[in-house]
This record gives sequence, structure tokens and C-alpha cells, in this order.
Amino acid sequence: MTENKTQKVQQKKLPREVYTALQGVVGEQWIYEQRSVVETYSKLSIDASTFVRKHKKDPHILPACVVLPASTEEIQAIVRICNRYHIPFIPFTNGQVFSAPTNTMPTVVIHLSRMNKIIRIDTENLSATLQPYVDYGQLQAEAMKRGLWNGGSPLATSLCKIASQYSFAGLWQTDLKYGLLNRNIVSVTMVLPDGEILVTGSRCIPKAGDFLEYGPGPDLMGLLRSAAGTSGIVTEITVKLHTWVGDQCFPEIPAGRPSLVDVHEPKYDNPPEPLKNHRLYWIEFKDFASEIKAMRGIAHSGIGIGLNATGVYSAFYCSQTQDMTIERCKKKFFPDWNCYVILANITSEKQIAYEEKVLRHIIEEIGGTFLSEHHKPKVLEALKPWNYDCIRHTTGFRMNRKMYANAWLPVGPLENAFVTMEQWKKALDIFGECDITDRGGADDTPFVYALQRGHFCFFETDNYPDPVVPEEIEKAQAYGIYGNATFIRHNLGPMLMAFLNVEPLTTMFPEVGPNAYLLMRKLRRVFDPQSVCSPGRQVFTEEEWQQVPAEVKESINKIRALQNLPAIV
Amino acid sequence: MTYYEKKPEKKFFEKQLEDYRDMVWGCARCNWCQNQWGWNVKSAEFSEICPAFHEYRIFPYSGMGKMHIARALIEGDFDYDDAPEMIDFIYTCTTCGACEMNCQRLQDKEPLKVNETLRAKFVQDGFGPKPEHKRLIASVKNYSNPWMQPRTQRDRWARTIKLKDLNKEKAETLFFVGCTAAFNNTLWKMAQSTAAILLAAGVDVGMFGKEELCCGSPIARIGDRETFFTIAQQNVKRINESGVREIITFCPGCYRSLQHDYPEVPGLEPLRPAVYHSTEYVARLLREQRLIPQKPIPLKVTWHDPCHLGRHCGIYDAPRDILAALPGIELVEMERIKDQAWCCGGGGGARAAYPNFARATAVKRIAEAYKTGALAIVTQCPFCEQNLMDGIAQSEHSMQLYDLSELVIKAIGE
Amino acid sequence: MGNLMTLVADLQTMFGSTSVCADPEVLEAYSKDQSFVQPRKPDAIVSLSSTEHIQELLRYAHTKKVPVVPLSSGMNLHGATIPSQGGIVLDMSKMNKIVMIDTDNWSVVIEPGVTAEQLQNELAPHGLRVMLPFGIHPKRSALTSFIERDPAVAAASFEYGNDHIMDTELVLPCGDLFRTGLWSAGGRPGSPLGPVRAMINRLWTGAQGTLGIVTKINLKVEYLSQLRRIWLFQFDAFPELIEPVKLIQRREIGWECFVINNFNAAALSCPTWNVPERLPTEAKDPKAFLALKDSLPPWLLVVSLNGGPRFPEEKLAYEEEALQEVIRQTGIKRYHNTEVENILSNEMIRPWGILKKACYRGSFHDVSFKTTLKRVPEFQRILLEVLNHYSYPLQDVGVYVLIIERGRAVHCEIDIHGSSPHEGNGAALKNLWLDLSRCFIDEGAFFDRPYGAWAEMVYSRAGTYTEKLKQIKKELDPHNILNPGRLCF
Repeated sequence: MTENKTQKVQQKKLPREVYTALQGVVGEQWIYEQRSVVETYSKLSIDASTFVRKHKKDPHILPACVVLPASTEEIQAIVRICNRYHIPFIPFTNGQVFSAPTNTMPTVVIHLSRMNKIIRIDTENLSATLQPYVDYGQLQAEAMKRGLWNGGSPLATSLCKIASQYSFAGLWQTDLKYGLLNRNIVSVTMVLPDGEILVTGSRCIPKAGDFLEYGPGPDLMGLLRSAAGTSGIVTEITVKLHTWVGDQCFPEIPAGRPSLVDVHEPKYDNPPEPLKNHRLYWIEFKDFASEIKAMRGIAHSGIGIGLNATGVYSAFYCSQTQDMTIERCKKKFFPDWNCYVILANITSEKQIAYEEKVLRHIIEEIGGTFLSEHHKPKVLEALKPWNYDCIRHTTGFRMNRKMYANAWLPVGPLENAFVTMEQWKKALDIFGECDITDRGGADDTPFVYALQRGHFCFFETDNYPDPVVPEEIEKAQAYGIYGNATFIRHNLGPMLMAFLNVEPLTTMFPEVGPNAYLLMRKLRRVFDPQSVCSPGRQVFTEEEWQQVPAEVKESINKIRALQNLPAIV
Repeated sequence: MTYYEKKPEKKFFEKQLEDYRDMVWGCARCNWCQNQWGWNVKSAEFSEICPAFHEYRIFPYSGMGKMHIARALIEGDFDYDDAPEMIDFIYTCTTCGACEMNCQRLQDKEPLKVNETLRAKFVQDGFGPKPEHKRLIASVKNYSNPWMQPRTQRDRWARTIKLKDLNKEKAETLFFVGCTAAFNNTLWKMAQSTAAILLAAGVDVGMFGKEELCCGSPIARIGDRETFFTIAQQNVKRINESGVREIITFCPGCYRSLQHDYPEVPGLEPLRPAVYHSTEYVARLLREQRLIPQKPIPLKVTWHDPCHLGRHCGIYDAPRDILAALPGIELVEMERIKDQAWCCGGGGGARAAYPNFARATAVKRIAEAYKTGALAIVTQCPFCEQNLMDGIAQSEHSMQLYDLSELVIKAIGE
Repeated sequence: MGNLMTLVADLQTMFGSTSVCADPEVLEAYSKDQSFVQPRKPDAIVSLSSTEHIQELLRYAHTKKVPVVPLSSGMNLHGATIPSQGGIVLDMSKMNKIVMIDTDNWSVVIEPGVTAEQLQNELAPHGLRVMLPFGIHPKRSALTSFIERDPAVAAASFEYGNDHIMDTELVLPCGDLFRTGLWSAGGRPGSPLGPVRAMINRLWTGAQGTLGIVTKINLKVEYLSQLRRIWLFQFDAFPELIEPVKLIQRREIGWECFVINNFNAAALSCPTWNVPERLPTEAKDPKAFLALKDSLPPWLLVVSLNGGPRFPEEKLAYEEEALQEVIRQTGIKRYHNTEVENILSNEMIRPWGILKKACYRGSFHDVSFKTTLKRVPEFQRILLEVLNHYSYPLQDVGVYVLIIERGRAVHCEIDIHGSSPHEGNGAALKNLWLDLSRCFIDEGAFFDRPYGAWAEMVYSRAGTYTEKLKQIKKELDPHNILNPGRLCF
């Protein structure tokens, strides 16, 4: 139950001179400090901590104001003001998770919604340069007209802004061939937390052009990316484009368009076929071992552009309501052990025929059954949203109808999937479930994304607590911490959870690196000497660490102890 | 099940903000309330779908923003004194329903209903609506129309048309013209054409004339539930007593109100006649060959889906079928159509209180229409027509605007 | 001298006298390579084979502020291992274990001393291979090659020819151990992401050992195709091949795709030359080479098709059909030469045959940079101008243009041939090489690996990038002990 309903929560406003200075940069039309405005920038989507803090009526979570710049120069000016006055700031696009909730008061939110242009699409050099608010759907739409595309779209939604995904994420359905967003960035222009402007890649040399992602010399991209919004503000990003052989725009679904009267009818989600020159195959297996073996075989065969196992997640994406999702989970409507493969005629119209032959050969060898009109046709019918989702994932956030509070997202060799499953079951036993649907990955396949020809994969299992029950959310958070501890104890690498590899979990897991947090502190000094950009996000300074309440450290240490990891002082 | 179909424990107009508590806490910030459904995006230029967010670029203007504001109000995080600016956020919204369309489809949540409930709360608590809306409500109460026009002028549009007077005679069909077409003389020809089409098809049709009442749609959208209930009761009584078997509305707002809002009024007797919008009715007349379009109209057009007709009520195909039946007409579609149509900017009380915003929204629609290569934009909604005409006047692009009935009447040679 | 003796004594105490060498003749050998980088002798050579010892060495060097220059094989051609400020050369050539071959997940963990040839040979029986760069010396450290971002011959293939590094184990300048990737929390390696989702390993690529010493690397390996087919196309002028290359690459035909001029093609195919053991080498009789060069077309476009692990012929069949379609579309001329095709087919796996080019004059100096495909003719014009200025014959220049990621970029290598840089006409070539480099960078050539003299040219232009690199260096290596004088450090 939310604490005292009569207790109001007020943000701490900026000193007037700072407000005036910021107003001078963007104009009075583009700066807001009204209470209801800052409210809409304070509760993030996937970040469980903001929900807990909302329940606790924590005023720190409210930004002091929101500014909306329109250019790199304006952003630089804003950042310089923040440095001058020691006011923290947070770059903000959607507010899912990749920007940070505020931790200190006052904090300025720099909302990038005015910077939403595709600056150029370079069909010659296969790249597109974007402002930070451009999303995957927009980029794909423009690129596909030109016979190109960006190589994939993220699971959650096709509305992710590419620049903010750059800060942390970027997993796609088609990673098998195209890799993560990691692999697909050519350059960024970034306003660093100290107010300098950094350009990466070949573009940093005059006249060179924007085509190469590395260097010169040591490559800084690897530090900037995945810094959880702490490395600065991307004001331009150039991404790679690849050959696109599908339709220029998605054909209309024969059932037509929904209206508010009938929006939940499944027929509207059912593209009868995948896009032109693409084909999707669903395969069911008798057990997890066969599924993993088949996925390995398929990944190694060199066929296909996408290879994933979806398990319970299809119950979300392919179900129009939460009730339908729950019912399908209960009834195990979708196969427990499955995968889907996307084939494409990129080189030739004969490519799919060849690759299908290879696919069937592998499945025959390993054992598995294709879903078809003869085998589970109703399930195959229900899986039809994937025909479009595999390219432009649109239904993804159906998994977030409650609250996508915690994800275990380990990455590693395919066999780690077994450990993920086993440990997830243990976690469910220790902490209990949040919702029926979070048994996904315990009794059926975790989500398995086969990345980059099977060299390594992501796996995913999730909790979906009720957002109005803070105890549930805290339980989900505990899962996350436990996950970190689990994977370190079992020497299976850092848990690449989407939402919890931020402090204090960086400093409190020094096994990672080891002592990665010390290195990150050094790097933070380089990029953010004043600690103004998303402070408390990726890594604390020593001073910030000292201010972490003892009970927070204690609660994490308790969970560490569950995996026999020593306490961190 | 949606608002329209499911029969939850409470009707919509019974719900208070607290009834949405679970929903607003669970807003996923997925941004579908601001953007076109991913599978339908054809360009970057026309990928957004929320007129208010598109214009102002901050979240309180979006469906998601309303959900967050509602959550904070429910939990007492702030109140009206702390955030007087809220009123502008909740009323700079045309209630086009694009946010709810996509949010329903993805998240099974209802940001539009949350916003309309916010409005109801504001009105209930005396914090709203805007002064312009108060004038509008007073006009409806006093004159049965929101345009501050005398009741006696309501039937002037029909002087050249021989419709039965349902106050004195019986007819099978009621032609419910609606306030906007009745009182805006630039729209009379649209209402006249529609009536003429019905007559030409031999429909036994009448009207209430001066005695027609406002359907109450603007009042419902603004959030004055009490006044809306009164209007709804009056209308249902009058219509049921008239003995008509079917109602044809000219205005999609009236259509939506009669068809979908009235059933959500607690304790209200159901409307007995079937309710149709003129487009679906005329489409049927064409199918049944009770109308024969013969005269070619060589014109490239694009169809604008009125929000209340299309997205809210599911009538997409009827107007397109009509256009397809008219010889010489070539239909080219905009990118944002049907459930993903871009709003004209005229609805939800936005035009009354924020005319610049309403006009800017219309200008964007005109630009989109222009890009299709069409010479004319066609629709059938008096609010849309009003606002799009303003948009054309402001736009750098030159386009004609037709009501669908004007083309039909030409084609059938009346 | 006193300090030097102390240094040597300390090192001998720490690592044993057999691991430490201060013999002047040996030091002389480590003082130079075939680049123009000014020779300089180290104070001592330390040969180590374990990460723990390397940590110990760096802790010592950090305390004593003694430079340490890491060397894996000594086959760097660009002066990266010349101890320009003296100090210790850390020789890791004996740290040459192939620690693990993961045949399930197709990866291999290697130490710095593992050579390209050794690695390829070890993987072959498993039906696997690594993607090596054209012109890598068989004795070059594979680890260094990947860490230094030598572009693989298969770079045209987005998925197979790029981004090979997964996990790394490295020693930071202060002696701390650090791992990237899945490995960052201990256990086993198995992904490039980590800590968290960072690609932090990229900081140590292209760094010439200045920010840390990589002691192990987990690399992606790919299947060794049993069926490969080389298609050659001939052109008289480079601009003619631009559009055909784009068409081939848009259809993603084949893995490897590159262009060589007749100089390089002849060198590769010359039967009387062999791959030198070390560089610089002895020049050899050019008769056969020259005859071959005259017989070859001015430009050859090489496209290599690889059959899949299953039904390889059928994969080749549809790819070859696609190539035929491109031929019909463009009218380009296929060049049939079975011998050259066979040599090239072997070269895709063991790509060192091209090093025979060194036999022309004994040594060569490449100007290697990145640009875009359509700009290559611009750089050709600049090349001609500079060559004319120095009266250097164009026909003595080798050119290799590698397509990267389906044509988004190209890697260009332009070889100027001469004898050893430290004698004969080698020194005279230095000005030519420098001028050429300067002219190229002035016009936007991107030297993404700024070796030797390129460093100043590049970093003086790179603004904030340079500044941040320096700041990072200061944080990680406050005494600038690791390979000082390289890059912008």
C-alpha cells in the first residue's frame, strides 16, 4: 500500500539563476518546472526502483525541471551550465530505463524529443545518421524504401530510440546474422558530461567521412556505449544499414484494421505471411536438450537471419489481453520447447530453398517437429504476429502489462541456458513467484536469442509483479540481486540484467572485473569529473559510496550470503 | 473486451479516477500512445500519432502523461493547487483515441478513458473545465447546441429539403443531423446532400428540426457528466417515443454518442432504434442499388477517417466503398489511416479552448493529404470539415475539401 | 649504468636469469624492425609465460617508473614494439598456449605467443578456422593481430569477417588483472559483453599495448569450408570495378572480396619467391615476378565463395548463379587462371603468401588507411602526384583494397618497396612515405591504427578524442610506463 496518501511529494526547484540560465539557452517555451510536468519524467517503465520510490513518496525521484534542447550546441550549453552550478542532469528519451531516475535534488532532465530527425540516409556507404529521438520504426520505414534496413528491432518494442538503446541495450530478433546494436554503430557525436563534444570513429578526422566505427587507435566507443546514460548525451548517431529484400512497407493484414470496438480480436494481429523474401519456421522439441542442440546446429549451419526460442513469451506477444496471456500460460498453449528461424532471400531467390533444406536436415537429425497445418495448426495460427514482429517487433511490450520489473539476462554459451533455467527455479523457490507468468524459463524454455551464429546467446527470464504492491516489486528486485550473486557463484559471468547493473550493484559485486568498479571510477573521472551526469547510475564515486545507507548494503549482503559470497563492507 | 463490449462491474460514466489505479500504475511508457502502430509506419515524417505530443514535445500532453498525472492525483502526490497547469494538459487533447487504440492493442489499458475521467474529476471538483468549455456547456443547456445559436434557427439548413417533421408525423427513419451541421451554414450543403441522398433512395426519413437536441457528445468529452446524463435521458425519451426504427446520424460525434456513450450512462433506458452513420447507410443503399451513381467525377481524392467514425466505431470500409462506387473518383490513401488516422484537431473541446493547436493539427493533416497527390480531401464529419477548412486556409498547400455526400449527390445526378 | 645493473638484477631475482637478457647483440635485434621508426635499444629483455609474472613485472615497472614494451612475436611491421624510450621489452613469444578450443561454441582461447600459422593448424582438424588478415606473417601473434584490428580478408562479410574478439584477460598498467566479456566475473569465457553490457574490450584494441597487456583472448572461430571457389574479375582501371563491387556486395555474395593490382597478384603467384622468415629480408631475382606481372590484368577483383557446412555445393550453386546475374547486368569480365585461383583459395585460410612481395626489394612500407570505396580513385590520383614528385615508378607499387562490411568502407594498403629502412635506399624512401601519408590524411584518409609517424598526424587532428585518450592513459598509467611514445602518449 502506498505510504500516507495525504503526504504530498514536491520536487526541489532549481535556484532561479540556474533556471534563468537554462531558459536563456532553450527559450521560455522549452523549459518546464511545473509539478505535473516533472511527474511525467519520474516513474520509469522497467526500473523497479522508481516504482518502489514512488510508493515511498521519495521526492528525490522528481526532477527539478525539464529542458528540451534542439541542437548539439544547446545541449552543450545546458551541460556547461549544469557543470558550472554543480547541478546533476539526466538525458531522457522515453523513460523506459536507459535514462536514470534522479537520485539527487535538484536534477535537470534533458529531454531530447525535439531532436527527432533522420539527418541522412547514405545508400552509398550503407549508413544512416540520426538525431537521438529517432526510433527504430522511423528508421526502418525510411531505409526500407531504399532497399535497406538497420538489421533488426528490439524485443520490447519498435519504438525504442536508437540513441538511448546505444546507452545500454539493443538486442534484436535477427541477432543471428546482424548481431546486437553494438555491432551496428558507426559513430556517435556526444556531449560529454564535462561539456566537451566527442565524435567517435572516422568522423573525428576532418574530411574522412562517417564510415568506420573504430579508433583512431584505442576505441572509445566501447566505454561510451553501455555506460547506462552516464557517459554523456548522444546528439547524433550513425548506424549501419544492410540490404533489405522485403516489402518497402508492411502489407495490410487481410482482416483489416481494428477499432476500439474490436481491438482485441486476434485476427488483426495475424499477418498471413512474413514479409516478401522472408520465411518463418516454428519447430517444437520434446525437451530442452534437443532444443538447444538444434539451435546450435542451426546457428552453425550458416543459414538464416534470426534464431530464437520464445517459450512463454509468445503468450504475451501473441495475446491481445492479459487474461488471454494468463490462460495460455496456465494451459501451456505454446510449446514448452521451441525455436523459430527466419530465412531470407538476400543473395538469391533460391536461398530460402537451400536454407530450408539445411534446416529440415538438421531437425531430422536432431529430432523436432515443424509446426504446420498438420501439427498444431492453431498454435501456428496464434504465432502469426511474429511474421511481422521478427523484423519490426511491435507487440513486445505486451509483456509489460503488469510491470516488467526484473529480468535475468545472462549472456554466454548456449549451454548456459540450462543453468539459467535451473537457477531461476531455485530463485522461484527461495523468493516465491510474483505472477503466474514468471514461471517462464522454469518449466519451459527461457527466451533464448541465438546471437551471431551461435557464438554466444542471451537468455531471459522475468518477473512481472503487481505495480501497486510494493512488496512484490521489492521481491522482484531481490531476484535481480540474487541473480547477480548466483551467476558469480557459479562462475557464469556477470548477470547482464537490463535494469540492475547500476549502483550499488556495481560496487557491491567487486568479483566482476575483478574490481571493475574501480576502473569505472577512473573512467568516470575522465568523462564526468564533476559527477553531474546521471550520478549514482553506473558507478559511485568513493564519496557517493560512503553515503549509501547501511541498510541498503546490508540487504544486498544478505542476498550475497545466499550464494556464499562474502559481505562487502 | 473493450469499453464498448465488455460489461464490467461499472459503466464508464460511473467510474472515478481511483477505479483506474491499477492501470495507471502499470503504464509501461512504451510510447505507443504517441506513435503509429509499428507495422503501419511508412515514413518518419508521418510516424507520430498524438497531435498534442507532436506539437508540444513533453509527456504530459500524451496518453502516457495523463496516466502518470492520474496516478499522482490518486496517490495524493500533489493536488490542484500544486499543479494548476494540469488543466491545459488534459484539455489540449482532441480525444481522438489514437493513444487508446494502440494502448489497448498492446497493453490492454485505456489512456483516453483515464483522461476523460480526469476531466470528469476536474469538473466535479470545480477545477475545470476551461472557461470556453463552460460557455459551451451553458449554450447546450440553454439552446440545445454548443454554438450559442437560437433553437429556432436549428432547422434553417433543411428549408430546401422535404424531410418529414417527426414532431408531427411518423417515419421509419430519423435523420439526426447534429448541432454543427445544423448551425454552421458552410456545412449546410453537406447535410442537405445527405438528406437528398436518402430521399433519392426512397428512405422514409424525417427529422426533429428545431426540436432536435444536442446529442451531448461535446459535454461528455469535456467531462460534465451530470449535464450529459440529463441530455442523454432527454434524447432517449424523445427518440424512443418517436417510434422510428432507425437513426441515421450525419455527425460521427453524434453517432458515437448514441451508439456507445449512451449505453454507459448508469440507469439510462436503452435506445430502441438501430443507429447508423450516414456513410454506412449510404454504402448499403449503393450495394442494394437503390442509388445508381452514373455521372463521372474525375477527381483524385484522399479520405480522412474521422476519429469518432473510424477509430472509435470501426467504420472504415463504408466510405471507401462509396468512393469506389463513384465513377471517375480515384482514391489515394494517406499513410495514417483508419485506426491510425491522424486527427483533424477539431474534437474533444480542443478547438474551443486551444484554437491555435487545433489549427496546427489540421495543417499537419493537410500536408499529409497533399503528399498523396490528391487534389481533394474527402470526409464526412462536421467537426473535421470545420477544422480542416481552417487548416487549408492556413496551409501552404492548396487542397479542396468535400463532404462525401457532395460527391455522391453529384454522381447520382441529383 | 648503476640503474641498469640494478634493473637487470631485480628482474633476474624476480624471474630467474634465463628469463632476462641484457646481451647487447640481442638488444640490438629488438631495437628495430622494418619500419621507419627510429631504432632504440631496450635496457633488457624479459621473457615471460604467465599472467602472474606479467602482473609482477608491471607492478615493479610501475613502482620504478621503468617503461615496458610488450612484444608477442616481433612481427609487427610498423614499429609498435620499438622501445622508443628504452626500458624493458616484455617478450611473450613463449607464452604460446592454445588454452582452450571450444568446438561447441566455436571459440578459441589463446595466449600472445600463439602464431597465426600455429592457430590455423590447430583448428583445422576440428573443421574450424580463424579469420586472418591478408599479409599476416605466419609467425605473427594471432592475438596481437586481432587486438590491433588487422582487417580480416573476409571483412566484406558482415557476420564472418568482423568483430572476432569475445573475452579478454589483460593486465592493467599498474599490474592489476582485468577481464572483459563473460570472463569478467571469473569462470569461463564465452561472450564479448562485460562487465555489464559494455564492449569495454574495445579500449584495448588498436592501443599498441599502451593501456594494458592482453594476456589471453577468446576469439570467434568459424567453420572451415571444405568447398571454396574463387572468382576473379579483371579491370583496366580501378573506377570500373566500383559499381560491380557494390552490386555483388548488396547481394551479399561470398565472404572474401578484395582488389589487388598486378604487382601484388604477381608477387603472390611468383613461383621463385617465398615467404620470408623475417622482415626485412634479402631481395630475390625479380625476373619471374616481372614476367608474371606483365601477364596479369592491371586490377583483379577477387570474390571468394564458401560452401556451407551442409550441402556446400548447393550453396555455391545459388551464389554463383547470383554472380552470373551480376556479370550479365554489368558486363564485367571474368578472369580465368586456375593457378592464381588455387593460390588465392589457399590464401583465404593461410593468407601470408602475399608477403613474398618483400622479395622484390627486401622490404616494403605500407600506407594503410580506411576510406570509402568511391573515394579510392581520389587517393590514386594523390598517389600518382606524390610518386611523380619523388620519381618513384608507379609499377613498383603494390595495392590491396579490401572491402569491409558489404562495401560500407574499404581498407587500403599501398606498398612502397625498398630495401631495409636502415640502409641503402630504404632511408630515402622515408620522405616519400611520409609525404604520401600526409597528403592522404590531408584529404581525409583515416588511419585508424596510427602507427609510428602517423600518430602525430592523426592525433593532432582528432581534437577531443585525443584529449580523452590522454586522460584515460593518465588514469590507467599515471607514470606512462607502457609503451611510451606510441599513439598520443
